[in-house]
Amino acid sequence: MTSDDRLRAELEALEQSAPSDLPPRPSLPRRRPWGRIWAPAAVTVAIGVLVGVVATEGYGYLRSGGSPGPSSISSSASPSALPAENRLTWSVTPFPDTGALLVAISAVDGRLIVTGNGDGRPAAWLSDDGGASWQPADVGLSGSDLTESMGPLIEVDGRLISIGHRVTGENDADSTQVTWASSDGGMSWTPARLLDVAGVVSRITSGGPGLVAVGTADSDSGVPGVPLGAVWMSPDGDTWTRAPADPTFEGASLRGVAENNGLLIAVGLVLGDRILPGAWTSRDPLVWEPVSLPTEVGAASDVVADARGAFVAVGYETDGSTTRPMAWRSSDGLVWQQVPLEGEAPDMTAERVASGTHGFVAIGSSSSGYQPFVWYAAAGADHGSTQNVDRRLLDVVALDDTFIAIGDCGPSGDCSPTLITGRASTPTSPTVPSPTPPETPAPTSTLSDGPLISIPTQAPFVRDQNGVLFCNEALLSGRLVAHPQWGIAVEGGLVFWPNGYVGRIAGDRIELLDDKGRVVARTGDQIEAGGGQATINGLDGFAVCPGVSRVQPAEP
Amino acid sequence: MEDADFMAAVDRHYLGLVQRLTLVLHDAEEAKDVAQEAYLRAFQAWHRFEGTNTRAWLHTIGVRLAFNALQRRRLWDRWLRTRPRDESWVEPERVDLWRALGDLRPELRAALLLNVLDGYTQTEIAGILDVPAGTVAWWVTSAKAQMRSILADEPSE
Repeated sequence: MTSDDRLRAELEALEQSAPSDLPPRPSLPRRRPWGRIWAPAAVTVAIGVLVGVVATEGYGYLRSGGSPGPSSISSSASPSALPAENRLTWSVTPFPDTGALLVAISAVDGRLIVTGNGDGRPAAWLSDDGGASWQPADVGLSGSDLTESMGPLIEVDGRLISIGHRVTGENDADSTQVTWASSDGGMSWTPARLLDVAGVVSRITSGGPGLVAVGTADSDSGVPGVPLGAVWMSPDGDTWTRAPADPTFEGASLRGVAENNGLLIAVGLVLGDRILPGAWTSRDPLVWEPVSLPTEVGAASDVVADARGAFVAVGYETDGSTTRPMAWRSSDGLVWQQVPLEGEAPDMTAERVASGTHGFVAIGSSSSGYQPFVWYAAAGADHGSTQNVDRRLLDVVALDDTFIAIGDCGPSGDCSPTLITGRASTPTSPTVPSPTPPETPAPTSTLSDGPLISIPTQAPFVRDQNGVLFCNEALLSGRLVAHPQWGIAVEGGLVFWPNGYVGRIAGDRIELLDDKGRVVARTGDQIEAGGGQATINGLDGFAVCPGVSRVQPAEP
Repeated sequence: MEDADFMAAVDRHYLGLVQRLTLVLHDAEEAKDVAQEAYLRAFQAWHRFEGTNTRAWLHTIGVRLAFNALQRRRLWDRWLRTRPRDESWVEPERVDLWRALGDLRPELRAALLLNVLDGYTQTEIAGILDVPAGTVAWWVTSAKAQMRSILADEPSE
């Protein structure tokens, strides 16, 4: 019995022994005479995204890590399956203020503005050269004993408004939403003032009388305990008015909003016995009409519009046990098409999306908060490609043809703030190393040359029964051989490779490629790797741990 | 007729709801109050319920209400000494487990029970409790680590 099984059994026994003297059922009140309200349709149009690896020459370490300068992120999209214009080249650079907590990134009139908290104070940083250099803004303090953090910002009537949080209370339990304003393009900001809304604002956009915000309201006419989606409007960012409670928002939590040519789109989730993705449209924004997202179970978390009037929403779908990231496209906001974003790990979700002159970028991660990825689809393309990154991604924005994301924690535990920049590039043919004739007898393979194969991979963080990160330097060594069930294994044992690793048929051998697309070993090689024994998904084997280990040919 | 439909579908889950809320709230008496409230709210929303899993739906309403109650309790606890919570019903061999559950921060406790007992994914829990998925991941991981340390001290059956 695993520790999870035992915990479940003990908790079930405890629950079933809880007092069973039932309280009286409350008297049922007279029912209000209204009918059923929402009924998301289930029309699925799936467009596949092929996932593969771009290979580079030579043997590589498992993870480079710790480099202070820019580093590259390799595509995990099959080069043969994706059009050239459907790829970006991504680079990672440290954010100059290493102690900053980044919350949001925005682009206003060619200027990048990152907001968050620096040295315990609300803070903003500006860049007029696409993120190459940054200068701190002057942010006024509303109190010396308050913990505040600036958040997403938007322009209205020549001013910038940033919505952030003030955190108070025991264990920082109480959070109040506050706003800052800037009249000089973000150089200086007035002290925070309370945002006068009864509820939680998720996202904000231009539209309606000036600004439109969506989120979840404190319950009034709705059912307590069930979320109530809400819309607020403001002409200037200072005074806000709640739109009349819309019956279609009952049970909903609104997570994203976008506007194009006067049409507003809000997306989120609707809580039933399962979670359903929801989308609504409005012109005024007082009256909203629900529209169907063609996904039965899941949630939408963000939506964006491009200059052509097309909308892209992102989120996830779930079958109740795992989730997978999802995008939905619509040319008019009314009819939506589902676009799965193929990730390489289970339980992945897409959380933010940005639109640039060349296409869309979505960022997301696994539900554990790790396995971050970016997804790019060129404008007009009906599919995109995913790429893995090794930093948690927080927000993304487009600046012309460039996408800039902010991130923080990586798998090694380093949580320094980071910029991840994606630029359109001219693709080059991947260089595939010629297989070296094996010195040892090659395993027999009946597979044809070239295709990628899946191999068993481990979660990015393997933890022991006490929740402690499981990684040790025990040396795993042996000859890499083809395995009829698992693709590649070390002779005599099953190996769980780090997430992102794949195998590739190359002639009469199988190559092992790391998460950067580099060939790290081939069948017949004698390899060494750090790792330890683990049980993953019920399979016992050796786990090659990320961050501290490497796979390399054994010393001769 | 619709009231009868509601009672037929929901009543059989009422005891389970009270017991679940006992664990979430770590208080059997408060659990009864919140269960009554959840029952009432479920009835008010019954005509909009289109799913098939009445138990999950009822429990979701109950856990969200409990979550709100826990937040209110945290505020009141700063000012008032709360009454000692009855644990006389807890079987002796599970007193440590019950107390360890009570030592968890309320949000960790709610997330743990939704994950371990109901099998909700962390993303689904994020939707239920209206918090980011990454936060839930941390809650569940932390809660499991704390609870496992208790179980590790006990002889395995």
